[in-house]
Amino acid sequence: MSRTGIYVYAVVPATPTISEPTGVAGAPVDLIPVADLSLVASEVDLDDLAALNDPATDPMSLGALAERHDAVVRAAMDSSGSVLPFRLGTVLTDRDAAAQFVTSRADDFRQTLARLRKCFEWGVKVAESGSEETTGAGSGDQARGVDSPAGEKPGTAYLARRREQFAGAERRRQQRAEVVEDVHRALSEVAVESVPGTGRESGVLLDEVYLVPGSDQERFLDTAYDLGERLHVEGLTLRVTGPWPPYSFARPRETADD
Amino acid sequence: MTDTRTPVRYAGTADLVDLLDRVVDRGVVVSGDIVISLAGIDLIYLDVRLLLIAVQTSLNQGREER
Repeated sequence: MSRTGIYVYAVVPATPTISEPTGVAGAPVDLIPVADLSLVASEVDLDDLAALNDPATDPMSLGALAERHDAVVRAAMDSSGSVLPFRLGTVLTDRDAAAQFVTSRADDFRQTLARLRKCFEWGVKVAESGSEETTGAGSGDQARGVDSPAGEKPGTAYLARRREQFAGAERRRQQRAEVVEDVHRALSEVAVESVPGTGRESGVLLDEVYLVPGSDQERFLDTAYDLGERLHVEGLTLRVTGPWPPYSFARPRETADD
Repeated sequence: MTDTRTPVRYAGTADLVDLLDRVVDRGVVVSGDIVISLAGIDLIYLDVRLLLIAVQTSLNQGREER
């Protein structure tokens, strides 16, 4: 007989139903009532989950797990108006332990659920439009190949040119920093909170996640598009993803940074 | 929600890497005895990072093969 655990998706304000009936590995989604909250969970076969760690397993099965997790979290948010997602792959020993855990953190959870109510998160990234335009790259090689104008000592001309290139790169860096600051300021006026993204992607000038009330999403997107047009002229690309359940804001505010 | 206005690149929520970025690194963390500690599973948090790289690689390969 295989061993099972409780896969937990999210905590929501008490809700009697959820529109997504199927959880991880096809198991039915359960709503476990805990006082005025509901724990969204399903039973899971531990061997199936352990197989995810096996290098022989198709990495896309993790993708399938993540998509199921996301589908259930979204449905939970639809049903109850607010959602506090667990990290992917959180498996607890049994229903009683899971319910006890929610009880022990109930005050925190209630506060966070109130804070996130009807809010979605949007990811925004700003990067150079073409990789060949990256700041300063290759400028040294360029300088070395060029002949100096007649009458100048080659060394002096070279140094002058290098100095100019460094100054140019520095100016460019400062301009980029100001543009990114402007973007962040404009988006923060619409968003209620923001946190840095995970920063896994390299070469990104801005990687930030914004918490936006559902009623302001239109305005947030319009702002992002206007900024995108301005950035496009300057050789930058703004990329927006969303709307997501507020995954990045699920931890209490004091510890959101760690 | 789809929007084709350029020049913003709008990825929607279909991008698996964006999804993994969120569900793996964010969300409520449970610690202690109630988390299943069967061999392998308590390591899921660590291994998920490696799997993320694997997913990214296989997605990139898929794009190149097209």
